[in-house]
Amino acid sequence: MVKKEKHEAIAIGTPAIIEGDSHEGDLRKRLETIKNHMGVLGYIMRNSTFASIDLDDPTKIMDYALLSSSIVDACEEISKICGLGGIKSIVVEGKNVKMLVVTTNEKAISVFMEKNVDSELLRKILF
Amino acid sequence: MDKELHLFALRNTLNEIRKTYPSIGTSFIFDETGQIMASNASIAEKDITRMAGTFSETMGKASVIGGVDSLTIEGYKATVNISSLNNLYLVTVASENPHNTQMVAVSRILILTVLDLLEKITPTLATGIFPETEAESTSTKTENATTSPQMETLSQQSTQETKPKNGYAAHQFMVESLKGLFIKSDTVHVDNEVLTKWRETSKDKAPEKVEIETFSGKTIQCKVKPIRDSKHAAKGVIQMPERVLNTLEIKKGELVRVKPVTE
Repeated sequence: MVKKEKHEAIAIGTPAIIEGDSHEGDLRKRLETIKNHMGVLGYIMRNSTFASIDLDDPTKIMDYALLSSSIVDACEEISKICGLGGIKSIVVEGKNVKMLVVTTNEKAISVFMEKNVDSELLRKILF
Repeated sequence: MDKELHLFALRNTLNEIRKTYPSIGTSFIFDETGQIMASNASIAEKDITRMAGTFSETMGKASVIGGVDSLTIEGYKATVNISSLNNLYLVTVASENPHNTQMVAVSRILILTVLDLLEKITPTLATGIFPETEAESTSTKTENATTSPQMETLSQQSTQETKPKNGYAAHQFMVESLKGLFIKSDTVHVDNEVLTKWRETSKDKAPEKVEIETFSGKTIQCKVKPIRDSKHAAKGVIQMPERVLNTLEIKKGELVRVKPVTE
């Protein structure tokens, strides 16, 4: 069984690399691919112990992190009420920015992009 | 605005959307405060209220992305979509492919169309305020016609007054057709009480003619007489001969605004 390393720090700009886990390594590569996709503004990956953030505009880190966290919490409650049987993905379309949230292995990955970017394509790249 | 009519129309629209897309199991509309406007849901009302409250709370934090146009949650069993419709939010829970954008788009367009339609129709019906026409803006534009919308019954609306520039009060009446052998084709009949009021306004000179204006902005001037039949006198109706009805292209039961013509 592969042992996971736990990171307590928040990595800003340089996403955390979790060594020794091929799945995590793949995820890291996929996030890099997504980050280089035209119109993608950045991403936040977090679980209960660490967060990895890579955003074009560092001044929006707190706002985006807060929004991402609130959306996930709200959607979990909505999911329970509507009997969705768990969340696969969330897409929030704002007036200026679109946000894709996918949850996997206790992690929530939020990708921020311009409105015209195909979030479904990004979701497919991620999983 | 007639809230009952509003809710009825929205509920029916939700039903129609559900018929068109049977995969939609639940749909409802709530406002920014979390109040449910219309529901076609199998979910308990308190849960819907909780959900609306949770969503509204989160929306406050979404200013960083310019507010929320739509939120789609893809679950393992179903998909929830919440779409912003001006000040309202439409929620659909569907078992179908969450990327069926047509379903969401059609639902959104239908609700928006109905809301738009209600917005255009109900203020007129509920407040008796006519849409402003060119003729109105030059001759009979009222200063306070758009203030204080009221919810009234049809009979109350039909005699509602607006403030005119010439001192006369314009009244709104429901149209009745006037038939008979000795009916003058250029004369309409209105409630004697209204004629008395006009007479008082013009220092005991009773108006001989009135100007009638329809919803569509058509106007005509006719001679006016009091209604003889006391049965109709208090009902806020205007009796019109066929010729006037045809000229104005209106039918019995429609509403018109009537004001006396000053010589």
